[in-house]
Amino acid sequence: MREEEKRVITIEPVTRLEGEAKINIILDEEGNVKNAYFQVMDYRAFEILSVGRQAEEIPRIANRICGVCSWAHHMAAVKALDHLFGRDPTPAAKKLRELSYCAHIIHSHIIHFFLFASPDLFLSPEAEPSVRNFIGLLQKHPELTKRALKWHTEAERIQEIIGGKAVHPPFAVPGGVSKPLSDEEREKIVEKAKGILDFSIESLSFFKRNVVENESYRDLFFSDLYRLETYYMGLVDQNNQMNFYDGKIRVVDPEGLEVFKFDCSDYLDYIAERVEAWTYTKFPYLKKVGWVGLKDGKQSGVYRVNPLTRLNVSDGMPTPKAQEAYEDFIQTLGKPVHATLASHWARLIEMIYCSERMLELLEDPDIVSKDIINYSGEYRGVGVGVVEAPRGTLIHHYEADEDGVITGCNLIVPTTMNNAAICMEIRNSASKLIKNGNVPEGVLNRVEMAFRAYDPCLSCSTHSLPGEMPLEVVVMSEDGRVIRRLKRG
Amino acid sequence: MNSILVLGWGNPIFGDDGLGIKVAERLRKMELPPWVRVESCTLSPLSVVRKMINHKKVIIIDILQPRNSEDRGKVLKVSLSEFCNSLNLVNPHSISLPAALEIYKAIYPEQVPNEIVAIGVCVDPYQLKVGEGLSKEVELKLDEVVKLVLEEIRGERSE
Repeated sequence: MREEEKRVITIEPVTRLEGEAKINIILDEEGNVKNAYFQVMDYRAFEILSVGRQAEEIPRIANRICGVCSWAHHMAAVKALDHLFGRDPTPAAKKLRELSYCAHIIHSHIIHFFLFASPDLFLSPEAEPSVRNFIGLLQKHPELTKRALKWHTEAERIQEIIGGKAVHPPFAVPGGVSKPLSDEEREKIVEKAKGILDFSIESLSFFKRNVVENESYRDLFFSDLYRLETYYMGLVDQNNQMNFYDGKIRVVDPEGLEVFKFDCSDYLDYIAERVEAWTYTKFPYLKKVGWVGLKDGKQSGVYRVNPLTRLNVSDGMPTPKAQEAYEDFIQTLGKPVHATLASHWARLIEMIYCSERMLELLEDPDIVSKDIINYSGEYRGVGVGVVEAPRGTLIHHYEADEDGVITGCNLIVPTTMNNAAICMEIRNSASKLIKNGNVPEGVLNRVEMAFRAYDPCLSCSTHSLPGEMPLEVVVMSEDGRVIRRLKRG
Repeated sequence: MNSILVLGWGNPIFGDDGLGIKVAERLRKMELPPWVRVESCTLSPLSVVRKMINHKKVIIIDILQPRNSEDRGKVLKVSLSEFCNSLNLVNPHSISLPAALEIYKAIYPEQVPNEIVAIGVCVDPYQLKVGEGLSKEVELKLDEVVKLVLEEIRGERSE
């Protein structure tokens, strides 16, 4: 077979930005999967935009990177700026930030779980695409689905109450926050947090009944089709337990043993980025382990960040109901858990944790303190901030001159950190499903399930009208001739 | 009662995508009927639809994807029925506005506005560049967009 006749399968959301996200699956001469790769828009453009601006403007601009992940960028940026200005936020400010951030995690997780993962989980991955969606879910499980949307709205409302705005908040500023919480606002949030906790527990129970205790689903979701044995990275507190807002970055190996634990400002000693000729998206990997290509195992520096990863790097959960759910999770699946789709289960455990953590913080007298900002500190001119975004570890790094003008910026976002793993997942699942040039109809969704588990961020601040965004699988020759097209939507 | 919501939608750090925000800024400085509310946002479609709840009519201001090369640079008004739709969602970042509307309609059928129109300048999405400020071409269309929105508010323009 000539080189140009080799087949390429492209799964491409038709978005308004070329190369925003694309999945290419390359078939060999026999029509079997030779390789696969995933491309997503990276954040170099934002990095250029930030240079030349006053540093204190950055948290306000960073939250425009994405309309879904705005709080994550806002928090990572402001933490980097705390560091850059040498201003340690007051205890009340840290707690208010964490409170708002827990609400953001819940807000994001509800949407991902119910809108994007649940149709596969509760309607069967084999169901017709016309019914395998949120509306299909609403018809089959109306009460749960309605409550999901209600609590999603309430989580957004909590962010509004705390930050004054649900998305793109002008809330966190270097050294603190811009708005205290009143007693009345606290009471309102307590009621909502209690409701979200009940809903999260009920959702976990629903998931267990319908997926974990359902043999056919369980076998699919936790099988080798979606499984990688990689290193795992995530933030942990001083007890090596989960924390989304602060702590040290911990890395465990494929056997679950701690190999590194470091402060985010040292990230460049641990994370390197590989550039491959066939894609503009970089491949972060563990510097001290090394890059051996798109391979898993202990010899490969490929690591993952996501909800599953956070459970793998944590020794436990700091709140009681989340700890109970965590113990059940590892008793069922072992530890570390390599089954990629277990990240959906992990998301529900994290919702329980975040609800409990919100209630803990709301009971703390500091939460209504008016001492919300620290203006003093020694200017450093360089700062690194880290948070656990809903999709994994997010690092912002800024440098500024003596006038506080940004001179350099580096962002490492979860989707980029997962780039190697996503490519490998797509390759592995496609390899098992595509044989001898036969591309079955269901392959698109099965491959997407691997992709979707990582909840990749495609820089959603770009939206367009009219808003068609279907996915396509295009089987084509390398010269661009379309041989076959499978289209969703 | 806020029966009309005028929503400037876009991202001010994404060049011409900031059109909706700019137009909303201008409209806020004008004297409008008390039943008209003007907002601007850089939200994902699900959150945008949440804002629409309990309004009789919504006018979205945004850049519009040209249907053909002749549309480029034109100021257009499109109705909801002209939006494309896809309910098969990949992640929160790629949900379309019609899909988000369908979800809300299924749950809150009485509260989602029946009349939704979008007004904006047709800009080829591949031309968008990161950075603040509109291109000269789109800047020159601001008056026309504002005029069309005001006409829509006053109901002077025939459907």
